[in-house]
Amino acid sequence: MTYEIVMPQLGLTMTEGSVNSWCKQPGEHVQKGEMLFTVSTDKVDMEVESTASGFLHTVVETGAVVPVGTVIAVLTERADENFSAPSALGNAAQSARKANEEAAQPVNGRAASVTAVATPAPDHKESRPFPASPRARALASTLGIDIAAVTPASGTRIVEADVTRYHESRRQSKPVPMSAAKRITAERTTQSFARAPHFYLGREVNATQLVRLKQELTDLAQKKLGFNVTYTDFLLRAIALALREHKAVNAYWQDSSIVPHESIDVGFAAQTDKGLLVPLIRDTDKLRLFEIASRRKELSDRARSGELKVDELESGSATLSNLGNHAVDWFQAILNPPQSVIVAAGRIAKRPFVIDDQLEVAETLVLSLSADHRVLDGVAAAAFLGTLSHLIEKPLALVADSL
Amino acid sequence: MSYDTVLDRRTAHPFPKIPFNIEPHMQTATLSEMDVQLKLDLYRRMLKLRDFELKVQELYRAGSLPGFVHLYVGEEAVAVGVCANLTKEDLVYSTHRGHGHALAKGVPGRQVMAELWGKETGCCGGRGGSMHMFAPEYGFMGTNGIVGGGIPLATGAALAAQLRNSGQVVVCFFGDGAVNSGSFHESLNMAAVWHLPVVFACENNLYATEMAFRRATKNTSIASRAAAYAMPALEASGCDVQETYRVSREAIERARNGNGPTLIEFKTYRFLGHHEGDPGTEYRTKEEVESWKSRCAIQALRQKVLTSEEASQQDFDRIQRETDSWLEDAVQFARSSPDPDPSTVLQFS
Amino acid sequence: MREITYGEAGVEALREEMARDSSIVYIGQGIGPRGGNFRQTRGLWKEFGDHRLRDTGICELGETGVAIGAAMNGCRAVVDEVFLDFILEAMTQVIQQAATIHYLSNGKIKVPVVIRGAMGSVRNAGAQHAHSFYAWFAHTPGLQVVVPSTPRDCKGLFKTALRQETPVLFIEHKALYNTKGDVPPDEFLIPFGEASVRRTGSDVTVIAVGRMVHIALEAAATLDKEGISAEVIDPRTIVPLDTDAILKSVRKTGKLAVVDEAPAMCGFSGEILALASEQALDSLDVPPRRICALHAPNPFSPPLENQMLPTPSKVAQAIRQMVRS
Repeated sequence: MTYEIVMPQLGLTMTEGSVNSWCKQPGEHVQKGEMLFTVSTDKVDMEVESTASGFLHTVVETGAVVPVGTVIAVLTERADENFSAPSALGNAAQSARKANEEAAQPVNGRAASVTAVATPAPDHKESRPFPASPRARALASTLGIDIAAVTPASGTRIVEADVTRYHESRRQSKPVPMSAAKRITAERTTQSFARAPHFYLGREVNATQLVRLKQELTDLAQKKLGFNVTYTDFLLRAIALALREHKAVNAYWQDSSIVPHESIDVGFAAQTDKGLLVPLIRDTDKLRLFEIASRRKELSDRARSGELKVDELESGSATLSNLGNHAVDWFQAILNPPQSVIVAAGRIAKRPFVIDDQLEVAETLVLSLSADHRVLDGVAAAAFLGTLSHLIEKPLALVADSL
Repeated sequence: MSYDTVLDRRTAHPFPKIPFNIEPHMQTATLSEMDVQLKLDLYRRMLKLRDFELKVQELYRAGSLPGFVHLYVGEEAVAVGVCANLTKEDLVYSTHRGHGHALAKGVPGRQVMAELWGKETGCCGGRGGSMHMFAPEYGFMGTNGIVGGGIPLATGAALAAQLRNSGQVVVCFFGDGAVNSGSFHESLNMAAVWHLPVVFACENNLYATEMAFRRATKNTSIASRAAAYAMPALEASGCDVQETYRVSREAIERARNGNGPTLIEFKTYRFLGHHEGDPGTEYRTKEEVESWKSRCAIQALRQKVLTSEEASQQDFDRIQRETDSWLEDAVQFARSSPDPDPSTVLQFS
Repeated sequence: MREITYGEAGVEALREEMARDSSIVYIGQGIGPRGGNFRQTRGLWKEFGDHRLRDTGICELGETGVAIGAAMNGCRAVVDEVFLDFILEAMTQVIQQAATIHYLSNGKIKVPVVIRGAMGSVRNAGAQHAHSFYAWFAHTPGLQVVVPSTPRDCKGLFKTALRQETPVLFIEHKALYNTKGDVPPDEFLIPFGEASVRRTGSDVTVIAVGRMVHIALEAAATLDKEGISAEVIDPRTIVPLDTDAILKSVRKTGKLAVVDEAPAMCGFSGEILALASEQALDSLDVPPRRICALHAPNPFSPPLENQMLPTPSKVAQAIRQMVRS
């Protein structure tokens, strides 16, 4: 009796993942419910429990990216039991949700066809089928290459040329190890940029009052929160309120139709060691400024320590990307699907500003709104940006909920 | 000018008479009256050969000597008679039964004995042994394990002597067993056509190992074969050293004078088997052996000299004692000599 | 540079050495006024006479023994078997006498004899006149074995042979006598134990002697057009053998092929393979190959003999398989 362990579906958008590490050694006995492996998805690293008991035989290499539903390990009843490597076809056929729930499907060893599995598992030590010429062996030894890793071009004997070729290929591209998050970001931004027709609106906003308000709230924030409120917090509140007013913006494109979000969840871009994450504040519009600040802080901390949960990252209405602390005056951000808008905020700085026909020095903020043209047209986006700008210029509205 | 004339002109060169080192008492004017000194000398030489070979037999049976040995006992008059006419510069090519030839040519007994013993001090440092014994410093160009192997070599050495005008004579010993071989035929023919200074001394002891000559050959006169090569031939009885001496001299002088080769048939007999371990009686009758033993040349000469009162028993006793001590010395020397150093095995290879 | 034939080169060597060393005597059949069956002594008899050049009857055993004996007594003797096949009549003198006397006499007697003869097949000469058993002599301690493949090598090596103190088998090839090549007019010697790299290459090492050198070079030219670079090495002397040159090449290319007109079994080709596997195993990339005569006596009819002997296309095909394995 063997049980197949599959790559689980973790989160709505996950289509593939990789085993980060195994919690048990191949050959070791695993109890149902014991932590078996950690998986890297597009968003998080997660520990996964074993859905069955048995002796572990790993099937995929750590780090190898496989589609959700792929058999990644097999548990056998007996330690020395033989099993057939599961077929790749059999894996693809399984639906995502089903695989997650019903991973422990007993597979008759003979029924599963023996075809090549995703990647050659290094633990299969019995394979040394190719003899190597003495010259090839000597060269491999000099270069520090494991001769068993070399595949002969002739298909029969490993010769010097095979070792040389292997060495060259290793040397040329030594890819920088990349975290799952980075990889996911790359994929998603590519997809987003390619699919959603972006257009951009920019507006310079007089942030003088915002600056003053923030300053005046310092003592209060310290007393109540223990830390300062940031511009991000104000901006998040502003975006949430603007979204409330412009319901059309709180929607997303799916299958040729516009689907409204059920709630207003604004996310903010947080840079961590692993890469860019966008934690979401659920029901942002229902939260007051200090609550937003508190929530924002908590999520940032957990993002950095890698403790975010999947549902804190999924979906969302809009994202704020604030590069104000990085001396950027303005920039244009890429939409974060399935959102239709993303607000890019530059730094608040003293700039020449015309007020009442007079050239003055004011503290201004340049906002840049990227919008998905499938969902919004220019006027709608401009209106949204207008509301947003107004809220920033007259920031008392952001704290007016106490009235 | 015809081809033949050219040939004759080029080969006919005068062969000068070169004075050579034969001891004065050997150069008798008339051989019919050999002086007593010569007779005793010849006797002494034969006795040495006889006693040496009997000692070798004794040592071999005691297990002291490696390999195998072919003993010369009974044929001493031939070796001695021939070699007494040779200088140190003259060359002798021998056979597998060659200890007698070596000693007769002047190779020291010590060196021969040590070589048989496989010792470092042997004439070949132990490399050759009984059948590959070389001592070129005495003109002894080797015993030979191949029947007839030395005949072409001797012929070639004579060619070199002719070419270099060295004045050397080459004597080639071989047995009745060799005269049926190709090398005998080819060598004698070449020696004859080129007029080489070589004496072919055949020791016909009637048996080639176990094969009686008369059973192997239709024409049992070895001397008669020379006629086929237009070569002179001589015969001599191996039972009389004076005869072997006289006949050899004639052939050797012919060669020395540039008058070409001679074939000598010595009629002789070995008293012992073909090699030590062969009783020699399976193919020979006891009567035949006894008959030849009774005509032993050493015994005969002693009888003759004693009878004619040219020398006394004391002389012969003295000679015996001298021979004994010479032999004793040789054996002691060989026995106490070191073995060759194994690490030299590749030297001269 | 002037071009002369392989046969003429040998004659030149002899003439020079016989003039230089009055102890040289040359013995063989038809080598006097006739100048040799292969014209290998042409003109020498007129110059040196039959004191120095001795024609014989058909008696190889006697002739060879006489040469050896002469060498033992102060002459430098050359015996010309003409067809090396005829040395078989004289093998006992070569193996039992010439090869052993120096060693057995504890170094006291030197045997400076050169035994000359032509090996190999020419014009479908037939089984008894086409042998290539030079390996038998290489296998016998006490003999040096020389196998020149070009006129230049023939002259230089023959002169060296005529100055040796130990017996030399000087083995020419019947089919090469009329081939031409550059030979320097002035005095030169080629030492024994020095191979010649006939063609430099990087993909495969090809070892060949005698006529097979030319077969190998032809194959190499063909392979060159296909982008395979063959290095052809001619050892020139089998004993002493230039193992350094051979190993150096094998270590460079990693692939070894030997072309031999003799059959493979227990031959020179096996010796080279053994050398490579003993001393350059880690350099070998593919199993070494030998392209030899098939294991049968040389047949007479041309299609049969051609099938039996190595050809440039057989050599090229074997090398292709090695390179593309």
